Amino acid sequence: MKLRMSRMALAAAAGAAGLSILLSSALPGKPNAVIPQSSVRRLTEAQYRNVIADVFGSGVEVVGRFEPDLRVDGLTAVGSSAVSITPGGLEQYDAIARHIVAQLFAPENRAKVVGCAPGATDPDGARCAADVVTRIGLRLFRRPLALGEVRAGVAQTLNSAGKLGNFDGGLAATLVGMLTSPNFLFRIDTPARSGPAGTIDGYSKATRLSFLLWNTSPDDTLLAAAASGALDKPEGLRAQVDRMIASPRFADGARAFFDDFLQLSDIDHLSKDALIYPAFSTSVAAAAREQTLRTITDLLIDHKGDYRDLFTTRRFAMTRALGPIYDIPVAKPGWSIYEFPAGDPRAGILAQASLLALHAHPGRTSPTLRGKAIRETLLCQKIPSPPANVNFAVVQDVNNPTLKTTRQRLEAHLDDEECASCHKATDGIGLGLEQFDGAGQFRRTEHDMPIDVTGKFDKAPFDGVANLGQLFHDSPKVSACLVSTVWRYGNGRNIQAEDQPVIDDLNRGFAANGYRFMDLVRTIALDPGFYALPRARPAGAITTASATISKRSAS
Amino acid sequence: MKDRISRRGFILRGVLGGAAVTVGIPILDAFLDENGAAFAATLGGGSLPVRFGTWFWGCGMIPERWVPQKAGANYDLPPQLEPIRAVQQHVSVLSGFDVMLDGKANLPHISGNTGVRTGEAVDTWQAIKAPTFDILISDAIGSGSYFRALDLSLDGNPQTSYSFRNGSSINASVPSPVELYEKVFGADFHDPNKADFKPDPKFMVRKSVLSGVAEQRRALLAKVGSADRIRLDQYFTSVREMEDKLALQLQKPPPAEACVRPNAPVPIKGDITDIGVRKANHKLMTQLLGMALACNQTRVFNMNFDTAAAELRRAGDTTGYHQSTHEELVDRSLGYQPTVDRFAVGSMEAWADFVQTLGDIKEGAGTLLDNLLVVAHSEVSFAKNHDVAGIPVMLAGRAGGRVKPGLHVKGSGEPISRIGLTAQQIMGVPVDSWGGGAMRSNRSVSEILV
Amino acid sequence: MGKAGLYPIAALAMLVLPIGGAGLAADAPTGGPPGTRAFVVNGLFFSGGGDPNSDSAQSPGSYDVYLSMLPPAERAALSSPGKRGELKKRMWDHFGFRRLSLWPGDFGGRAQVAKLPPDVKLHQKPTPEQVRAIAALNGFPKDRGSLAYQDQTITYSGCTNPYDFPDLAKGYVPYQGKISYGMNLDGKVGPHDFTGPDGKRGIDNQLWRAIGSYKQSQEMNDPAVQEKVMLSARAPMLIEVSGIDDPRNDPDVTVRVLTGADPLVRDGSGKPLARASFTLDPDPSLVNVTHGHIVNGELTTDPVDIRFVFREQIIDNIRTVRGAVIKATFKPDGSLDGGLFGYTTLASYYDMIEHMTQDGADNVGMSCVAIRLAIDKFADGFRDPRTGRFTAISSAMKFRAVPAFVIDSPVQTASRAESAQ
Repeated sequence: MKLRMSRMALAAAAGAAGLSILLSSALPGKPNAVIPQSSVRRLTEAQYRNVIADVFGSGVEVVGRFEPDLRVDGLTAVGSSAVSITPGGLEQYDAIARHIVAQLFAPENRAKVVGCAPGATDPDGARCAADVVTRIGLRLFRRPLALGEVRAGVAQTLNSAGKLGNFDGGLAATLVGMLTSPNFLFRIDTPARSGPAGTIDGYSKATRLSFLLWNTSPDDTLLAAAASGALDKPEGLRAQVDRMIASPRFADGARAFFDDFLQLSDIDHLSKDALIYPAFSTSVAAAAREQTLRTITDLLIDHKGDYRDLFTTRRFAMTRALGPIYDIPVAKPGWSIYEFPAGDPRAGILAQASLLALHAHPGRTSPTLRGKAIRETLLCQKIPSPPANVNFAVVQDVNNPTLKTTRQRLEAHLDDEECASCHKATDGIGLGLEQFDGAGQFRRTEHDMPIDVTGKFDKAPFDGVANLGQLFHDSPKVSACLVSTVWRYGNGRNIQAEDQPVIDDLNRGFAANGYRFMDLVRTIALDPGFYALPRARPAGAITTASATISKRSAS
Repeated sequence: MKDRISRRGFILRGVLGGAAVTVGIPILDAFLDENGAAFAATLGGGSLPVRFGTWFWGCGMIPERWVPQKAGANYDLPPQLEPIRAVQQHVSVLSGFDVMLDGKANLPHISGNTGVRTGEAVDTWQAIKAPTFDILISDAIGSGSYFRALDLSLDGNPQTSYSFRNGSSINASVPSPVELYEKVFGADFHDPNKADFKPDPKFMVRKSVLSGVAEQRRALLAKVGSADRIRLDQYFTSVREMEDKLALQLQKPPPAEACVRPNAPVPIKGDITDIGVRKANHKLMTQLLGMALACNQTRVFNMNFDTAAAELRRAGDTTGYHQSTHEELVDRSLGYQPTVDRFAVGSMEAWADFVQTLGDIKEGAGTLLDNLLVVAHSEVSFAKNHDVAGIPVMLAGRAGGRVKPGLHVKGSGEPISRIGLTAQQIMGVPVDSWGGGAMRSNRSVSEILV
Repeated sequence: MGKAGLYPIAALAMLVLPIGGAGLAADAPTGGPPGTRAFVVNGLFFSGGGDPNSDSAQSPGSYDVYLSMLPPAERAALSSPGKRGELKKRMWDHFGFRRLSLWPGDFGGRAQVAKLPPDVKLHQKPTPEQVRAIAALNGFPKDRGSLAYQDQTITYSGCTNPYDFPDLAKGYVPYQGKISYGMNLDGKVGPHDFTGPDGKRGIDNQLWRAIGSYKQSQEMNDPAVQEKVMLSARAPMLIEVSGIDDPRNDPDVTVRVLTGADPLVRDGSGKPLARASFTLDPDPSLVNVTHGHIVNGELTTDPVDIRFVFREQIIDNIRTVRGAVIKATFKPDGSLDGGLFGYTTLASYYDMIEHMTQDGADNVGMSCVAIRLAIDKFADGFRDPRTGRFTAISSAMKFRAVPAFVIDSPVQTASRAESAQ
């Protein structure tokens, strides 16, 4: 085996071992990690699955373990610009690809997908191979293949066919190669060959647009628009953007965004103590995630609503699995919208089981974790990790006879100066959610003591989650956080100083036009800056991300 | 050395001693073994193959006397688990995993097994949808050996089998040691150490396809900035590693060093329904099985100690095991059914014997157990009610280093299909979710994974 | 309605769900109509008297009866457990029992399959006429042969036709004890009545007299066993109490006894999941309405005929209890705990026994024949004017129930609207 670049150096340089790490700076107030601008973004698991369904049909099974996506400053979309593929990960992509391709050659699929075979006019199948490679290559690589690429694909097919003794085997092997190619697994921006300098070409634009709006690769119409140059003209771009936003598939894109924004995929790993919260189960967890996503799309897309109303809405998507958690009858087995009556304490997504259960311990609540999560995701603020030598014994003792409620136990945080600096920010919010237990179930008392849910958010007082939701509704920080997050999601990178004017514009537009999510996305998609190549960095600039693993605080 | 960031920091664990279920992040490292040993079952070449088997016993156990209190390593051994003391380090206990009936009937002595083996409960034989998970595993890894799988029964009945592709076609079992010997070591014995090796063209093709991918490197790197270059280069390094692994497959595998063709066995005399005779028969069959594995005659087996409605009895007793489970009264002073208890203990003694016997076969730097995963299970927990909740499961072996033995994992009512899913994933079946209805799951039992 | 207006509904919401000791139950303003509390029953079993751990006179199961009919040498030869298969064959041959699987592939292809006439479609339940045709085609005795084992077999046995095999009732003894759980259903203290565990006399529980001497009955009556078992989870019984003004004392509430179409599931701790929603079985005959009153937290209903489903393992039957009364207590943890008393019809009770099948009955040591004859003999309710015979037998069932939400199907919503007008 020849000497390769040592893996140590690679690992250090890339800063990622393929695991899900929360990168965060060490001190509050410091900006997000500086990730070098990238023109290479790896497909996430969800995107991979969507693409396969779009290209080959939803009946094709995609089975295997995907390389975990990396979250950078809260978004896997940003992390996609930081990750590569490890040997183990590639092994999995290869296995997944072989399983997909095997299905494509099954008799019921072959005609539709492959559609040709060696015959009298094409004895070795070279023409068929060229056709398949070209056609499928366009959809998989998201651009037309170069002549050399097609030739190489044909040669490989014939060569493999010879070794295996059958054409289909050879063609299948080539397709597996395409599904493991970096051209498929990574979205790589190509500079435009003509037009203004520093922009990406039409196909790269189509890719950016498609993943932002629908979380999948460009469909035939969009590819055609790229081919014709329509995307390079403002009216052509606008036509496609409007088409895609008007489509029902935009809801999929919105779901993908909010799923990333609210970090809901962590629910897959959520477990609760079965004796303390017997109503909670893995299907309840999955239903809670779905509930939040459906509540959001119902409001923001079906009703074209105001983003801020997410924090006050009484219309919750509901299904039978969640009935016991919310203690309500659920008439239909599927999904429907349940409206809590006026005066009910449950209003806004802050009262939904997904966020409340996700940011709590298996057997008790955690105002600190909830406050931290809300500050970091919904307010885009940074909360640093606790110091190493903290004594958690008092907080963890839920049966303390004098300190009956969580609030009382946490008061210790606020007495200590060093602790108070962060905990005022987190606990102040989290304690207002204490009427919801660790599984998101509502209660008025803890150990027979009524729970005090008063608090202050940005110097304004509130009593309970409905109040808090109203304050979030009115807070410019909340809407600004959404704006910057959508921008980061679409661009796959953090905001730098030179991006600020664009962000400011977006904020102004968002506020002026009713805080509509669809309009915000539209504006970003139409901004020429969205299609700019990464600006060259001066030599010596930071090329690694400073990564601190954030441990789950035990408070 | 890669940064080995501990995944423990991401597992939420119940701190208050309740029956918590822990699930970790997707375990990437199962596939990241630096020595390539983790790929043995799928890519083979250069390492010992990893084998898989099931071991079945009927009529479950008495939960209060079988389920350990402590979770994790060094679990306590309640009275019915006492027999495994000598092999405890090799055995993991998985308790509290349920077959969820999903509103379907609990067909006595049928639903439990179907639920465990196919991951879904059904009302009728015709409705059984999927192959049992041992078949899915042998489909994936069985083609590398002479016999795709060996199905074995110890009661002399070839119909005692829980391995099937669908409800209407159940694989018949080899019902005695003598027949097993004839089948494997008889006149047609396929000696692995004499085989001619021909490289499989499939691997040649895959390797050359990867080379084609690697050729795209230069063109791609030219298109991107320096930080992206480093990331793409990491990808291409992964490609080269895969090429190297495929190259190994094109070389002749190492000799099966532990393989010694055994002598024909002397059949055990006596009433095969008597538990003492059954255990002797079982030991003999296990020795033959072990050698069949060491000689790479098969990579998958199913061993059935008795049937679901266990027909075992003890010479001199008027009621047998199954009958006792329903008819014997709970002894007031003991607090349990004594005859049922004795048979449950006897079943566990047989299991311990099984593990011990396979562990006595040296292989590589260790024993056969190091390159094996066995899933032992019953079809009910408390047989009296045909209770399919908390069906007892035990694992043995290290699966080529992918599995940590010697743990007690509490399932807390989780679907038992998670175990079938985990076994398939360990053995390299490309599956990310398995089971049907309420038992459909995509969570492996990560506690046992290395 | 009782003291409507004295207790504002909001405060009632607090009273209706008292705070659980462990703080586990949500006590938010709960959904569901005000003044209504519904429950799903998670274990309904026949109860009576006797010590499950004692060995007192037990009635024999069919195998033991048959063995007792054999000469001693044969009896000894067939008694050992290794000979169980042979014993079964001999018994079946002796009595002429038959059992054939209707569809190929059952039991992994091992069951004996019936010859089917050409008009019987695979996997479709045969009509009664077709059943007769199948029986004839396979040599069953005339007018014999019934569907059994979830309609998957055609069978002739002591369970399908108990009156044909009086021999299998040999050795049977009724329950001998004097004390039994139950209720005084007829208001009288008769010579056949039991005394309750609390000393109350006149307890009517003749069903227990009939089946109480079987080990199986005794075991199911053991609280330790009941804790672990969730019976009839696939078609659970629901009890809905509405019109509650005061959950401690209310002279008039409406009570519906219903059957759910959704299965009862366990929660993470292994107990029945509380506060789940259940759609009702659309069959209108499974909706039973009555009134009741609450005194010190104990609900008692007025007698009404009840039809409900019992579905467990291979048993799937509709049970009818005539003149049924529920007496149950609202517990602090939100559950409902008590009994269902009344006259279970002989037909519906025996239907359940028949569902067990001969094999099932043999495995649990019961004799269908003995039970059939015993319930005929001890029946004590609802005399049929034409035959002069009793059609039902006094019985007592215990149950526990946890909070649930009842979702009326459109049929029920319409009929409730109608009756409200």
